[in-house]
Amino acid sequence: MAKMIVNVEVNGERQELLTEPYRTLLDLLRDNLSLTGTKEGCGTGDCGACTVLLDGRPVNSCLVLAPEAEGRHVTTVEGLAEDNRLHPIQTAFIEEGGLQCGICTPGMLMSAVALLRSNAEPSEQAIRYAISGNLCRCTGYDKIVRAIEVASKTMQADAAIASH
Amino acid sequence: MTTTELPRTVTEAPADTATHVVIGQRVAKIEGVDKVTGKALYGADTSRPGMLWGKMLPSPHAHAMITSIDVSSARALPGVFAVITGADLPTIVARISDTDAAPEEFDTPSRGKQILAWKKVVFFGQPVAAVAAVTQAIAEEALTLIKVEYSPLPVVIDPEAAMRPDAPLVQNAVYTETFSGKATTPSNIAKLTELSRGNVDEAISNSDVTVSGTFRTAMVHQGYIEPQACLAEYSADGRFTIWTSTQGQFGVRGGLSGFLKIPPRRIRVTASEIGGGFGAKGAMTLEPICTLLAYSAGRPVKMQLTRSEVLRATRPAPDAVMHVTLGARKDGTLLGARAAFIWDVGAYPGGGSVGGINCGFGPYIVPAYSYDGYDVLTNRPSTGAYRAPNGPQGAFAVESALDMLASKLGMSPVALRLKNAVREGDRNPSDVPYPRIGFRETLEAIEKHPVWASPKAASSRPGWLRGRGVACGLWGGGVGTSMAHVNIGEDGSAVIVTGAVDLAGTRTTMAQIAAEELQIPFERVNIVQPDTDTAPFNNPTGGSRITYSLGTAVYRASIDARTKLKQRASQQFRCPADEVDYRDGEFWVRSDPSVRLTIGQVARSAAGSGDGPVVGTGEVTHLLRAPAFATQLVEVEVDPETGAVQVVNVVAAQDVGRAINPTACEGQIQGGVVQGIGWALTEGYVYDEQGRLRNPGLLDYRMPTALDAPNIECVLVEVPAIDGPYGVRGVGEVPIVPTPAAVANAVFDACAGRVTSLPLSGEPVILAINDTKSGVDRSQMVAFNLGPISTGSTGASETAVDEPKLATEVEDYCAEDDVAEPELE
Ligand code: FES
Ligand code: FES
Repeated sequence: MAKMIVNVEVNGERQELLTEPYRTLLDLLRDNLSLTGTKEGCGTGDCGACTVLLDGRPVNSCLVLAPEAEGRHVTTVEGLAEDNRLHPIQTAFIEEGGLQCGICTPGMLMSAVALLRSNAEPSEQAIRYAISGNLCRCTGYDKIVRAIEVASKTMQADAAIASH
Repeated sequence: MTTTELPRTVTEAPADTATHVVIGQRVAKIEGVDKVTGKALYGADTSRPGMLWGKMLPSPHAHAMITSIDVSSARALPGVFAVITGADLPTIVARISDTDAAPEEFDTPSRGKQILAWKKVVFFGQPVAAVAAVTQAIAEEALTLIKVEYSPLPVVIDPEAAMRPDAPLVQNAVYTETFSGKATTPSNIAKLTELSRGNVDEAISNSDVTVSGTFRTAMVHQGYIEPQACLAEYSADGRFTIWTSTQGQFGVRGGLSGFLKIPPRRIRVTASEIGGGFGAKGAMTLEPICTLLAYSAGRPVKMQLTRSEVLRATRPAPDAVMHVTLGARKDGTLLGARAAFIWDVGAYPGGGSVGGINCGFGPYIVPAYSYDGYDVLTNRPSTGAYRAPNGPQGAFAVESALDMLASKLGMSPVALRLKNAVREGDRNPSDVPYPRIGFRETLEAIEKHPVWASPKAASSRPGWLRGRGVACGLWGGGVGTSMAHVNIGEDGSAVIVTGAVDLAGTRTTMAQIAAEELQIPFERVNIVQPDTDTAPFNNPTGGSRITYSLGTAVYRASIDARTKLKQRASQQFRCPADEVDYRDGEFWVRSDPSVRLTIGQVARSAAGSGDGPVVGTGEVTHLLRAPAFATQLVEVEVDPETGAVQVVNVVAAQDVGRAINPTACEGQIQGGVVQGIGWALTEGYVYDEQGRLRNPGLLDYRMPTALDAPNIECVLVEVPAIDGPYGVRGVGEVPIVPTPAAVANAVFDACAGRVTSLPLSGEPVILAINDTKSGVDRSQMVAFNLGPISTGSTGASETAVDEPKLATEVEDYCAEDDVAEPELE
């Protein structure tokens, strides 16, 4: 099948990528760009391990065809930390024990970031709902929920300091 | 909806912790940064220049003869570098090993040897051919060009049906194994295990109360989120390099060495970061075929299973049919128990019944018993280890029966269990005595917990019913060989080197042990797990053995390093080593404490003087097993209209021996409980009559999401184990064991319906409620209607009375599967 070029901005960098049209955004990230932080757990939209932000909204990148990414902005787990400083959600996951094997973690973090952007102070129920598309088989979710609660508090405190 | 009515507390550690600085601390995961930034490399994350992609062709039949395979068009497709079928295996292995591989060897009914079906397929989705091509798309296209002709055979999916004399034979050359020998005609019953003690008939007829029941569980999958992935490379010097997602890199090396008939030195295995295993990645999956493809193609080959391949053709946990009868006195004292446990082990022999029996009945004193375990072959995938292998099934049967007994006696389920709970010195069904254990302590923790002590709350959902259930569980504990080095850097920091795979956080606990024993800050310890060429030998990770066994090795290596550092310090002080004291990173001469050297100064000088730099070593082969017990209290809400069940609250008490890192212990417990909730409510393989799996995807194979998981309060009970450092016990396996039974018992408490089959959410609950309404008493069901069975043997299955039956392979507390071993000699 003929290849095509997809222009997409990934973690703030513009990329011009050559691909067959049937490949997915997940393939582009992992195979063309070697951004292997985004994981594949099912390839059918059922596990959330491949969650990235597409124009700021969480999507399962295994369900996004490469041409659909044309002209859009993608954020992956590799783009969360800035200037070698971890994002508060990353710190909270480490400190609260929100990860074990860590394979679900990149997707969880992206869903959590999207949640906290739209709802700075989510209830436990809102958190559970926001990550209900991200399967985790190790943690039983409890410590992930706590980590997101902690990150929400930290981010609000940071924002309060910044606004003073 | 979940409730937040409970504080999440952890029982305070015992008094001796005052002397520990790092042990017992909630330090953060040492590899956390790599995992939250996406840097950690899992099985599918490594690539090599010139790499090809490997794919396998699955069988569309559950049972069929392969009459022909034509791969010529697939081979001719541009971009295809290798195509392999089962018939090619002996030739390729002979070329690699320069030996004559006998073709029959690759056609034996062995889980390990059957990496590709040959002559016959025995389960749906079994790989029949493999290809390597430049892209995944070309590899997939090549698979469509392979022409296979099958002649279908009758299929047997149900283990009870498979035991009948007229059942189709899954394997033509499997003969029932018993303690007294092997049968002479083939049978689907691969193994019959009989354990007995005393006169059980008399004990049961002398009982004031008896209960019987037949309990069924579905085949379930470990459900790790990372599908198996592997990368193999062959080099002209005759060596293979493998990167793989495994629980044991040395197990893979040993297994490949046996399979390829080459010495281990020709194989180098790197265990990648592993995205969950839960037992399943203790055995090899892709490694042999990936290695053969790389050899045949002359290029590196990467393979990654799809989710449907994971569900169809890796090694799920066996389903079971369990008949149980219990007899007791009026006061609740158990007098006798009879059980027949039937395990559907899949299409190849293996697994084993003993674990389920020992986990199920092991927690209780039963003066007279007869327990029979049948390992039965069906046209399903080979089964394998899943977190406390066979424990949750066994406990579901026994703990449900105990709950039936408690309600019949009008006794508290906790009091009934306390009355019969084993103590140190009591013997398990395999007649092995328990060392110091903390079972009663977990029961007492639940008994005095505010949730148990206070009246049941009303249901939070209108019209739903709330119930509360209790169940217990046991895991015998894993042991095995572990080794570690502790390298002291010239700044006095330490790096632990080990070849053991960290499944979920043991790197952190190991670093805590080294920091504690070297008396240096936790931040100055690092840990690495290099490949099999570099790392010291370790058995695979499994059976909750790492903190216990590797912990012992790291403890010994750290003390060895400290002793050597003291000796180096004495060279620098120019005094005998026994006059040097050490504390918290500083050495001094006892007679003149004002002269001091830091550990960094000693290490730096030692790097170029005296006896040189310091490496501590520690190793351990066999510790005494440290059994771990758990008691769980589960609260559910049940919709009596639909049978829907929501678990709303769990209190999980567990004897962890000593919590090195309470956060890590709680994480293990919470994860195990939620897996147990999935097992109880929604997970299960569904087959059609032709033996095709109907739900090979995560939409229909339904694992719990964050909305299904309740709050889980962990109560860490600490009764120190008698072997190993600090009294630690393995923590990971046992929390899954009680959960399915505790959920079923809570459902009974909510709606008076006794559900005897899993998964139970929905229809089974409605049926059980209807049973109760129409007066069907499950506790009176006849349990021993096995019907005609075919062991292919004559009289070998007769049970001797009075004498505990012992065989060397059952002299353990739990499953032989607990540390998954390479299955290829
Ligand atoms: S890999 Fe995309 S949802 Fe599972
Ligand atoms: S931490 Fe392993 S799947 Fe979530």
